[in-house]
This record gives sequence, structure tokens and C-alpha cells, in this order.
Amino acid sequence: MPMSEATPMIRQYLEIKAEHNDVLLFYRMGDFYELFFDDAKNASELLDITLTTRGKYRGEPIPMCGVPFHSVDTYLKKLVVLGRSVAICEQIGDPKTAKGTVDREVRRVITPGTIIEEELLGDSNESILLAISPAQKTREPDGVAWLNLSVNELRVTRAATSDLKSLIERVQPSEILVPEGYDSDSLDLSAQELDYLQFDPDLAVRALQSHFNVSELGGFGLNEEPLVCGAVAALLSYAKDACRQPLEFITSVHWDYATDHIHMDAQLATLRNAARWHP
Amino acid sequence: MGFRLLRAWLNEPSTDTSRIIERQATIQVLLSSPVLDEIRSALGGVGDLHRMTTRLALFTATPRDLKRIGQGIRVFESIRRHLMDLDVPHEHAQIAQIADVEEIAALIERSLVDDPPATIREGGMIRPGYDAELDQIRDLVHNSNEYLKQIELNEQLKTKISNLRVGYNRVHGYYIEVPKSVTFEIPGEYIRRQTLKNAERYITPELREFEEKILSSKATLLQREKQIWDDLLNQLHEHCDTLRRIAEILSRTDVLCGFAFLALRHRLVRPHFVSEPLVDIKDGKHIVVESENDMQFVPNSTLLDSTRRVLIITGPNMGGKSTFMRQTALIVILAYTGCFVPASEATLGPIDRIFTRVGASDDLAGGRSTFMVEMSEAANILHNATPNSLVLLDEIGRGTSTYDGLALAWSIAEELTIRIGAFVLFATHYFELTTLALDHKTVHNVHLDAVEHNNEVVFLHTVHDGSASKSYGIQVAKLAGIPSRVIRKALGRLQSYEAREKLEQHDSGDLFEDAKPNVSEFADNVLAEIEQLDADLMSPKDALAYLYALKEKISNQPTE
Repeated sequence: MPMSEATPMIRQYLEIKAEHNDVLLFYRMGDFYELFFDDAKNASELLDITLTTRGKYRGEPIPMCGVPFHSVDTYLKKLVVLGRSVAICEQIGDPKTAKGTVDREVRRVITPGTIIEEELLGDSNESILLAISPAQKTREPDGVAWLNLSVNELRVTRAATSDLKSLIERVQPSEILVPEGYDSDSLDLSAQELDYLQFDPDLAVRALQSHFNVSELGGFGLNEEPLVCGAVAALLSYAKDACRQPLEFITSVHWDYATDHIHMDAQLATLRNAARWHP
Repeated sequence: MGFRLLRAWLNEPSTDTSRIIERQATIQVLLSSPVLDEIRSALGGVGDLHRMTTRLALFTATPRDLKRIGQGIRVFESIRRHLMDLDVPHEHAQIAQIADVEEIAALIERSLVDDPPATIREGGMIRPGYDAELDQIRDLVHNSNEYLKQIELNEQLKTKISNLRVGYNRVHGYYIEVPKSVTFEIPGEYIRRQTLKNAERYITPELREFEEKILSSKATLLQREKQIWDDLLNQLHEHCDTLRRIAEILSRTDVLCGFAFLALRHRLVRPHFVSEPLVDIKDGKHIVVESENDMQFVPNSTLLDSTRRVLIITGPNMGGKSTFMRQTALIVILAYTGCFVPASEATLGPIDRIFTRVGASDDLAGGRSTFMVEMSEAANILHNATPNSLVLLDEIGRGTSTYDGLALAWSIAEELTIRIGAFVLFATHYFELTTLALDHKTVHNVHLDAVEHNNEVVFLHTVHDGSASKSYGIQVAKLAGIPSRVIRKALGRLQSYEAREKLEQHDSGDLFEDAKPNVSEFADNVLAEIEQLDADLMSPKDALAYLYALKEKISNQPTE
């Protein structure tokens, strides 16, 4: 066998990895989840686990590290706390009956803002995904949507750019989605950039009509709200992709009207959080 | 159960007073009810019903989730009975929307064992008696142990090898194990499977037949149990909406009971709401500071209304300026969540925003100095505050040189007073600011006091009208442990500064008296020029050109 040839398993690995380029791929092999190439190098550092090699690819040894499947939650928890996302690839065929390499499939992508697994969340943490659909004109407020998947709560609002900071301080999202090219530096936040088409208002309206199974979005107060629709659509599509699930149980949208509550600035929110009190 | 809702309420105090009054009414009834403790302890046993319901909706609920959902429903039933006996009409309206849920709880209790496993992988979660077919398969598997013992006994008798054992491992399945020393005594039908150091393992046709039967029935058992489980999930899945509503009611009840408990324990009072601008707190306290210190907390009143919008707070360091400002904000926040407040009486008008500029922190990573952070926050306040906003400013302008800081503090305070007309609590060490009250009738001075006794300072923590006379900075420095050598030097310096300042004031008058005429003189000139203009005679182009010239003039005008 020429050195440059990949084994069937590595070929399958690379095909799956190509679809999950920007996350760590946990590739199930028997009782272990293995990571290869750069993923292995990153994960061995992040998780403090031994880096080894397995076989060769194009003449070079392939870096590898792994974690046992029964304690995978501990490692996943560490990674999501560090803000990393992980794709979990399982064996879906029966290894005993499979001819050649057993079939594998990514069953779940765990991202900091889409955690529902109790073992990963802990009792008092929330995993909240927030999307910002910025207005084209500077004076207009942006569309914002946020989802707390573990309790099925989807909320939307329009917020002036100057109010975003206190909104984010209040919502405490674990992960923020913005269209590519968005200037997130001015907000002091790290955000995940998505293709701007994910936020496209026309596509969004159609996607939301189909998700909520309605012919128009007036019932959700979203009729004249292209930016908010864009944010909700980007959010839902990201969450569905991560959960590999149509998330049909999300059936309502709550408007967060600015006048419904007293606004508190970011500093006050921080002070309040700092003054934890146990009576 | 209610921590998520509590966090939401605290983060988003409601501006809808009718909602707040509903919450207050329930709290009022709960705190005088004998069943408060009972409800509270019942709620303590409920898990996170919201999350469990979501897992049920996703079909990823575990046996323990379902068990806890069942327990949650039972708690809801008992709390529903308690609440229906009380005069809490708003809660009744919520509860009335929930149909009878007894059957859901009963189904869970009937189908699951008392202490189910964490996952369904190994089975064992379905209660005996729930499914006849499952019970039958279980009997078979269970009895196999009896059957194996029987085989072991029979073989021991047949071979007369008393330490013959029947065992099982995952690689070789069932086997008969015989010690090496007696292997010559085995019958002919024994087929060797495995050789160990001290023993040989064999299989017999009878054992092989048994093995096939038992393995297949174990697989059938798991399969059947999984099938019953899926069926159960499907049945419960239909009730997700109801479960969600129950979770909401339990959360709300939990928070309201918590508020009632707090009100009793800390003797809180029910605040009143009015529609005119007002913050009137009598004998307010900072509930956190009070709870965390053993010292007697000195209560203070806050009064802000349309004739008294700005309080300039002066007084010594450590005298309680920050605590006084924060307790006011905290009471407003608590009041608008529905909670009772630490005061003897509180009446509040509408508040739309609360702004704070207290305590300074560097943002070194972002490359912004303390002063820059302070100023950008002040800018945000000036852009967004309204007459209904409550603004807390603690020593604004201290991050730069004295006169810079004073000048900025002055103009920020004046802008908030004149143009915005917000409710402002402004703590400062710049005594010059106390003269603002002379020019603007909505500005009032208050101060906290300390008394000096043998060069030691005693803080009184009481807010009085009028301005303070001293900052006691040096006395506080002494308390903090600055060496007495340094303190002595500082006292000397202070005296010489104060002497010089008196001299300068005598020379040049007030710092701001000077600056003001310049600006208005310029404005007067411009106004006079515009007044002389005959707009009818100008072409559109001329008018535009004039406008540009005017703009240029204004931008060239020196700011001081």
C-alpha cells in the first residue's frame, strides 16, 4: 500500500471532518471517542490528555488522542466552559455485521449556547444562544433574538446599538451569532459569524412560516419585523443543526418590549450580580 | 424551582404596576397564612420541571426525569389545594387553566419503579405488574439463576466433584469449572472451552441449550422494556404544554412565597405606587449590607419629587454615601419586582431606567483608562436619561486633575438638572458643587456626618439636609493603616493648600463665574447678527452660504 493512501477509516474521518471544520470532532471508535490531526493537538492541550499517533497519512504519523466514552461528559463540560463546540460522531452500524468500516454519523453538535444535557449544564447555569441582526441604517434599532433551549424560551426585541450592551448583560448569552462582517469589537464580545444569508429577511420569513406552520407571522408580532425575523431564523437554524432535531416544540415567540421593564445599565447589572446574597 | 423566574424579575423590574400589585396582593395573603411554611417546604422537593419537560419534548427524558415529573405533579396538586383555600384571585385564574393531572402522575407511579436507574440502557425502570408480558420474560430470566444452581448441584452429584462450579463470562458464555487436580474424573460429554492456571472450563450440550435460551430472553427483556418505555414517553409527550404551565405556576408560587418569607423575616413593607414623579422612602435600609454586618444599620430616608430632583450628597469617606445611593436603587428595583422593601414606608412614581456610575474599574484589556470608562458611561447617561430615570453618580470626575474633574462634574450635574430633569443622586467630594443648589431650585444638598474626637473620626451614617463641611480623607487614611509619619505630613500639606486656596479665591472669584459670560457673550453676538438679517432679501444660495459661515464661526469659538 503506498504511503500516501489513506485507510478507509481515515478517509471516512476526513469526509465527516470536512463538514465540521470549525469544531472539534469526537469520532467514536469502540469504547473511545478519538480526535485526529489538529483537533488532537488542540484537545490534548485543552483537556490535558496524552497526545499519541495512529497510522500514517501522506507519509506523516497522524496525531491522535481520545477519551473513554463513559466519561465523555467530564471532557465535554470542560470544552464548553472554554467556549468550544464539539461534534459527536457515533457508530451507527453494527460493527459485527458491517463490511469494512462501520457507518458513522454526527448525532449532535454541542455548542456553548445549545446545551440541553443536564450533565453538561449543571443546576444553576443557563445555556443561552443570542442572535443579532444589525440594521442597515445606523439610526435604526437592530433585531435581536435569544433562545434558552433547555427551558424552551424564545424571546425577541428591537434594540438600539447603544442598548445592546446592557441587553447582553441582562440576558447573559453563552454564545452570540452575527452575520459575517459584523463589527462585534465595539461591543466587547466574541461572536460567531455566520453566512449573512442566514439572516436574510425574505428567506427568514419563509423558514419561520414553515417552522411555526403558519401562513403569516402576524400572530407572533413579526409581520413588519424583517430584522427580528432574520435573527430568529438564524438562531433556529443554528440550534436545529446543532441538535440534529427539528425542535418542533418551540411554538411561541415572546416579545421583550423595552417599555415593559425598567432598564438597568450594564454596570448596575454587574453590581447586582456581584452582590450575591443568601438570606 | 423559582430561581430562574426570580432572576428574570430582578433583571427586568416591571413597569406595569397592575402586575406588580397582583404579585403584592398574593404576597400579602401568603405572609399571614399558616400554610406558607408548608408550601415552601413542598416546593423545595421539586426538581427543574422546565428542563425536564423540555427533555420530554425532545424524547430524551431519563427514567429519573419522569419520576421527578410525577413528583412535581403531586406537589402541584397539594399546592393547588392550599392556594384555592386562600384569597389569591390572580393565582386562582392561573390554576383554573390546568385540567385534572391526577392521571398523569398516576400513570408515572404505576409504570416506573420507586428508584429508577439513570439511563434506560440496562433496563430495570418498569415496575413489576405494569406489563404482563414483561413480567413473564423477567420470571424466565430471574428463574434462570435457580436453574443454574440446579445444574451445578446435579453435576456435583454426578461427578462427585464437590468444588465444581457453574459460571459465566462474556467471551465464553456459560461454563462448568473444575479444578485441575480432579479433571480426570470428568464425564465424557464435557467439552473443554478454556484452560486456566488452576482449572479447566467445560461446556455440556445441556448448558449450551440453556445459554441460547437465556441470552435470547435477556435480549427480549431489554427490547420489551424499551418498547414500553417509548410508549410511555409518547403518552406523556402529549401533556408537555400542561407540564410547562405547571412549571410556570410552581416557579411563580416559589418566588412569591420566598418574597413573603423575606418580608416576614426582615419586616419589609409593601410599597405604594403613584403616577406622579416621586421616590419617597422613609427609613430605608440596604438589605444586603444590613444582613452581612453585625453592626446596627442606620436607616435613612430618600425624598425625590418634581421640586426636589437632584440630591448633591457630600460627607466623609466611609460615611455611607455609596450605601445610601445603592439602597435607594435597590429599594426601587425590589419594589418593581413585586417584593416588599426594607423601609418603614415607601411610595414610588414611575421609573423607566436606572443608571449608575459608581466605583471605577479599569478596562486595561480594552485599552481604556478608568477615566475613559467613567466618561463613556456618563455619556451614555446623558444621551439616554429621561425625567423618569433614576441616576446614581458616585464621585464622577475623580479620575482626572482636580479642576478638570470639577468642571466636568459641574456641567454633567447641570445638564441632568436643566435639560433632562432626571432624578439624580450625586455623591461628591467637590464642595463647590453644593453651590448648584443656589442656582437651581430642584437641586438640594444633603450630607452625611462624622464627628471628630481626639483626632479620631466617628461616622454617624445619618443623612441630613445641607452640605458637609469636611471630607475626613486623612482620618480615613489613618484608619486604613497609613503610617503616622505620612499622616502628619499630609495634615501639614492640607493646611498650606487650604490657606492658598482662600487667597486665590479672593483674587479671581469663582472658577465658573469667569467662564459663563464668555459663552453667552458670543451667543448674544450671533443672535444679534441673525436678528439684523433680512431673510426675504436672501436667495436660497445666499442663505445656505450664510448658514455655512455661521457654522464655521461657531466651531471656531473657543470652548472656554
